[in-house]
Amino acid sequence: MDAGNPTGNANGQVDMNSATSALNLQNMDNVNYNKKAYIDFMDKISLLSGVVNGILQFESLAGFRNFFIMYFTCLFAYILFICKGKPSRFYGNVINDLIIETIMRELLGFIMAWTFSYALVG
Amino acid sequence: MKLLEVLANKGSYSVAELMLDSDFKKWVLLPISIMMILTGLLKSDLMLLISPKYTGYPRVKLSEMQWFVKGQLLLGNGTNLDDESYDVRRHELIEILTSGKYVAQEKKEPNAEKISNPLADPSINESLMNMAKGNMANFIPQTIIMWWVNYFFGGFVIMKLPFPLTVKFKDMLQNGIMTSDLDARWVSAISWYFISVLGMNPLYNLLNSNPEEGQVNNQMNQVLGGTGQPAPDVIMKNLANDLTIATQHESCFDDIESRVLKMYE
Repeated sequence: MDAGNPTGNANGQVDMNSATSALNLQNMDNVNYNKKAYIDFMDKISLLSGVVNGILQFESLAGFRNFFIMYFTCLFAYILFICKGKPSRFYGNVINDLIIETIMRELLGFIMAWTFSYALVG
Repeated sequence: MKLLEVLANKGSYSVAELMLDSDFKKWVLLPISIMMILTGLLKSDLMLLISPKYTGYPRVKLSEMQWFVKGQLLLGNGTNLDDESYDVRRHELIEILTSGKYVAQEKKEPNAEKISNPLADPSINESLMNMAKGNMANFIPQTIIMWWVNYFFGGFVIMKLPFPLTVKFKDMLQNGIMTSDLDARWVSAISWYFISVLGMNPLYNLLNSNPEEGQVNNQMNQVLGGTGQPAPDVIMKNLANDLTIATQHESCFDDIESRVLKMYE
């Protein structure tokens, strides 16, 4: 699991220059690669979390609460450990790419896995 | 507040407990799930087969594109060069881009100006056809599975949802079940179908991930002068203008000696 290709140079050049020049250095292919890596990561987490919630027979608010706790914990872990605390080097628009574009997809995947394992085990 | 109470099961809403035959899991829930997964995988393979073939571009078009990319890269990454190297490259690119030496010349038909009907353009027709094929590949399998689920697994409750739903969902999720007061959490097979349709995307992504997906599309988008874009020679001249005014150059090698020495102080 790696956020692979930084959009800026690794020799610290981005830090020396202005934010505008850092923006110019972003490569769309790398940004798309990083988005796919993040979606793959969150897909695995949300499906696994749904299955665990179903097996443990969580219901109603407890299940949704677990999803949001899991989602945001993984998001912060991703930003801290994989993006090394600098997600803007890897993504064009951090809020949009990391939260808005994925949260609905992961919530629906979670509900599907949760419902399925809940019905199988229950 | 009422909604929260319902969600937390703290209200006076009692859920009737039904005893379901465990064979429902084996003979209804699992077959529908397996069928949904297989259909999704088949659909993605089908989409790959009917997707437009990558036809490639003539050499002149590719070299036109590469000169443009070279100009963009110099603007974006020029700080990695020292002043002299940057200026040499900048002047050379300004000269080449302004002269239009590498702009691909297209064959002009004598009546090209008169054609204004967009539907007569074969590339637009092809893209419309591809879009229609994609839509068909999406909704035909869904319609068939929905009919299959309704026909073979309709009329009985198969599962209990782990979250509460309002009474308005009863008509859709308990379709064919003649109980007026059964809680909406007890649902028929069609509701599992809907949940699967909405939530299968992450699973398909993991089962069917193709790392090379999208690379061809990116290559296609990079070609200049596509539909709705300005002409390539105009784009080249705009880039030459950008390079002309990009005289202020800050190199990452400026004061590098002092910065390196500072690291070891």
